[in-house]
Amino acid sequence: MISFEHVTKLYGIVIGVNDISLELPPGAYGLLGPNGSGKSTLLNVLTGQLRPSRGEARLFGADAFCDIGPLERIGFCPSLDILPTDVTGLTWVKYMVQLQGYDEAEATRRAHDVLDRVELMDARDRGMAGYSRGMKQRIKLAQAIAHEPELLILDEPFSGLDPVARHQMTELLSDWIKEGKSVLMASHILHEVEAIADNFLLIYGGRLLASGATNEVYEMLDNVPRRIDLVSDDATQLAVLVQQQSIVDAVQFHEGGNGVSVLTRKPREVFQQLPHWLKDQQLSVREVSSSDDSLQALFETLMKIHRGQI
Amino acid sequence: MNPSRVMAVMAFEWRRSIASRRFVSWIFLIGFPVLIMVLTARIGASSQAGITPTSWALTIFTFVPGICCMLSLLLTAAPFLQAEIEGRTWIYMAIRPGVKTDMLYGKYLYAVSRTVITASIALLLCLLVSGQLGQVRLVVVMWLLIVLSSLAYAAVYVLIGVIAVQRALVMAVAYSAIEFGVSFIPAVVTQITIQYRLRSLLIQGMQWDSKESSALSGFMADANMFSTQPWWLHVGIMLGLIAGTLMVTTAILKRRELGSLKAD
Repeated sequence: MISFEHVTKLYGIVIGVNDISLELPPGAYGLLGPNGSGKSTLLNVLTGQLRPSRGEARLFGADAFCDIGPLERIGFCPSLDILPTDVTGLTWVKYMVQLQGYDEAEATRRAHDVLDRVELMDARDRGMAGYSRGMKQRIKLAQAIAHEPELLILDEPFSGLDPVARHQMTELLSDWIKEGKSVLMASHILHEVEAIADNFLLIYGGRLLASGATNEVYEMLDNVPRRIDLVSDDATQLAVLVQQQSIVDAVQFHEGGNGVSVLTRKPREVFQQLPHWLKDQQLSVREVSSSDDSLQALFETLMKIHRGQI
Repeated sequence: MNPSRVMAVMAFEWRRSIASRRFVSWIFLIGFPVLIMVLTARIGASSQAGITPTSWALTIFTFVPGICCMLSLLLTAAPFLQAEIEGRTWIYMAIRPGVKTDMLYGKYLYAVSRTVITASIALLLCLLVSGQLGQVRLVVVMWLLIVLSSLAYAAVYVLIGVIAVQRALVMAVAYSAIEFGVSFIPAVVTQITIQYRLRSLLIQGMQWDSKESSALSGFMADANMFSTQPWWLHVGIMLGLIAGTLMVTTAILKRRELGSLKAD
């Protein structure tokens, strides 16, 4: 479905994406990366908006920049919530469907169907200037799926949504995937992607750091020292306890003395065994956290692996 | 190019134009040539000689198929792409197959149709003010010149619009000023301007002979200011210019990487 061969995109001397190679069969994929990591550039190359400076990008077997044919088979939902403000939602979606090549009657029918699907029928005759962010995200999704594309590409579809709207969007996308269609979703928030896609592409600094199923990505981190913070009223006892465990590599006291940081290559096992250790020694812990769970830390760790520092 | 998509783009632009009540520019574009005619009529009324029909025709030609059409197209044709890029709505077009070209021609036709309607209303009012409405030949020639002027300047402006996307309006204004200035230079260089072709068609269409034209003013008597070649040659040259310009515009638009203008 998607094939990148050593794709590099330069903006003058600035690197947008750097030597990316990947092969994606149909499925649901999450493109994960912090802001400015090159996600939008990658999507622009994929949708033929940018020509790779080096390498070759192919979509459905055709050159993504030169061949416009595959564009018929994709729907694209951009990240910006900017829409024409002086037209109604129905007019705009119908216009987008017409641009896809459908006649007016069919475009009108499809526009009504898709607005019903994204639950915007009641607001269809209102000017889009008065739409909330959630409504804008849904109308953007509507224009992207109205022509029933094989591949739906979404750039930060959850951006600015409140919890209810996030849930609705997740439901919509999950239903879409259940229909057997493909999705490529760019986001900088791990759990958003986890809720939709089973496979990740991790991009950072324009480089593809890792790709694979959720478990595979986490397995990559299994042998990397990770930090777990424990807050306790009896930090000294806690430090003695954890340093005796073979799966703990090092222990550090917190500056305020209210807890310890545990460094381990087996964080999952530590999380599993920690309650038993505490129970045996009659110790209590008020707070357990792992900063390494954050996406930024994940990327930084992967970057270190990539550079051979770990 | 898909004709139904081109028409859809044109219809959408018209719908937006009406819905957003962009009437101020319409009132200005129609009103200012009429105001000039009113002032000219006042000056004529205060002079003994009055204003000849030829002078009226030349004034109408300058302000309606000339400046009115150019200004209308500067607002609609030149920024056709800039508006989409700056409004960040371009991506919705660009990711649909073949729509770049359809959008170009749809917006081109919208700009031309809007300009022809605007200039036609201005022409009607100018003819009323000048008392020349009964001159059928003048009405027909002026209207045809409005159509030709709109088609030609719109083609040039959309070309400027894809070459200098983010400075389209400024570049188009600069081009217009230069072209208008060059068209009044009594030398061979004036022949490359659209104004030269329009002026030649006006003189032939109105069947003004050289004696009458020489009576108009000094520069019109100069052989370089207009051509006596057959009308169809001028029309052919203009249609060739329009077709050629649109083809070049299409080729540039297809190959341009507009995604980089707003990349992260």
